[in-house]
Amino acid sequence: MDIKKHTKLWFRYFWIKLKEIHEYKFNALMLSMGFIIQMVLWIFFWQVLLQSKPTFHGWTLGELILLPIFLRIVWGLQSLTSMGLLSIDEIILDGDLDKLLARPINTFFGVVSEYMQVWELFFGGVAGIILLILVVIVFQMEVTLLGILSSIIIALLGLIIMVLTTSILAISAFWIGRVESLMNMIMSFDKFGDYPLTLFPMGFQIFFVFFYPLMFVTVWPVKTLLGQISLINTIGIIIGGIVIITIWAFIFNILWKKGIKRYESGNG
Amino acid sequence: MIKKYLAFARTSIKELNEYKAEFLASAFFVYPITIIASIIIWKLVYSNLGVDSLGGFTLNEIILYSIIVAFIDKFVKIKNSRTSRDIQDGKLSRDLCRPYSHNIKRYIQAVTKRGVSASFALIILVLAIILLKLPFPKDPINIILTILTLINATILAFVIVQIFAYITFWFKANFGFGVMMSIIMDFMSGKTLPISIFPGWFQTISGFLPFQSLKYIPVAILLNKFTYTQSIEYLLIGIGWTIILILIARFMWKKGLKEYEAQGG
Repeated sequence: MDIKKHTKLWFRYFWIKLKEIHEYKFNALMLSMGFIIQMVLWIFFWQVLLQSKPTFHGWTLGELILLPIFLRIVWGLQSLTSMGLLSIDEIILDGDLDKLLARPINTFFGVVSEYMQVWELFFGGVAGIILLILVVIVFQMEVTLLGILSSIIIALLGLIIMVLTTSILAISAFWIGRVESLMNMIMSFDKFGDYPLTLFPMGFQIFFVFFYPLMFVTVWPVKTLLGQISLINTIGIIIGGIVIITIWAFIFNILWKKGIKRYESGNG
Repeated sequence: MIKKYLAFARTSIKELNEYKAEFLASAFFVYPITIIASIIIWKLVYSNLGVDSLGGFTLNEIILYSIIVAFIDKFVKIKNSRTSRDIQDGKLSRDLCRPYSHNIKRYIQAVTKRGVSASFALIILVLAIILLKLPFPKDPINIILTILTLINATILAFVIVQIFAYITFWFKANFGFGVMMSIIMDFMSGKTLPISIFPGWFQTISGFLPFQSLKYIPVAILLNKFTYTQSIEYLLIGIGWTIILILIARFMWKKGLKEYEAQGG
């Protein structure tokens, strides 16, 4: 794969998608306001429940607010990388995959770049980072450079695991056709990401580490950002994340190749 | 006339066949996941606060409240209307040239689809109540009043959604506005927390808005949280809001049609 050519192409796609935001300014403004309102209501929700007690099983209000903010930032980044993979069934059924297969670019790259969404990046990702900084300042949280770096690394590992596991489910579309309901099922776990998962039963926590990595995306980044996880444990989480990614990437690679092969032969 | 609209209901059911998997997944997977999340979170909240009752709700009552609200949410849903898309891509023109009301057609379609979706979820709701031994109320008057408030809520929710959709007449893409409003209204309708848990000032504001008639009022009536007189008052207030919003919607529809350009239609 020609990396230079594909990088140039990726930025071209990114630019085109960026222009869509400009075209629908009202929509863009409302989406970003919606995100901010959602976060304000979330703060209000916890304030109401913590009126008579300042912590929730040891979690402070500031920490609880950071959980959904991290989740939204990761969603923003996910929309840049895996929207095409997540809607691969539509791409197949609409015949758009033929178009990508006919082009002199890597098919996987085509699926990832052509269907990227910049909306979420700006109104979840960027707005999320601004809110995160605000929360840290307002709640006078102590953060170190090491904490910031490790939380970014852990959240990114979570993002990659999430992209891989959800994409593996999505590319089952090569065999079973429509997978929208399957995707809705897996996405329904997102609602757990707004809460401190360390308080949930162990079975849930294991699931949210290996299969739908909300622990990587929310709990651990918040804890490491605030220096509440020791360095040894942080390294353990990072190594564990890399191992999980390797396993899922291996499975994804096999399934993607088999899927593309099956698609071509199916149409041949 | 009725036959014509019943035909829309029939075609909607036929269309649903295509999305069978979607409905089954929503009823038998997503809804149970919501129930499990509610149980875990509310148990944590009550044990954290060390209280027996919150806003007049015991732990079992609030779990029941959450799972009934999640069930009601299936047919009293605030989300972007298909009318918005019809206006955007010009497909509204087809309905304007035909001898039926576009808005009634969309209402029949929405009610049919959501009704079928909710009927699947009803199985899970009943199972959850039996398995969790939740205190399901049996007062027949409250059940009748709940059904009446729910019927009003489906119309009210539809009218609100249509009002958002009509904004598309003036702004090309209206998706973001719908998302923003659905976030606010979900919260103010009592989807996240019963309104009685909120501070007094929030309850006062909610009392002046139509949103609590969508979810909080029907479920609170069912759970015997009001006297009969209060329940009837809330029902009438809800109907009043529906009438006011229908008038606003009609006004916007008439004005909007003058702006309509039928691009792409």
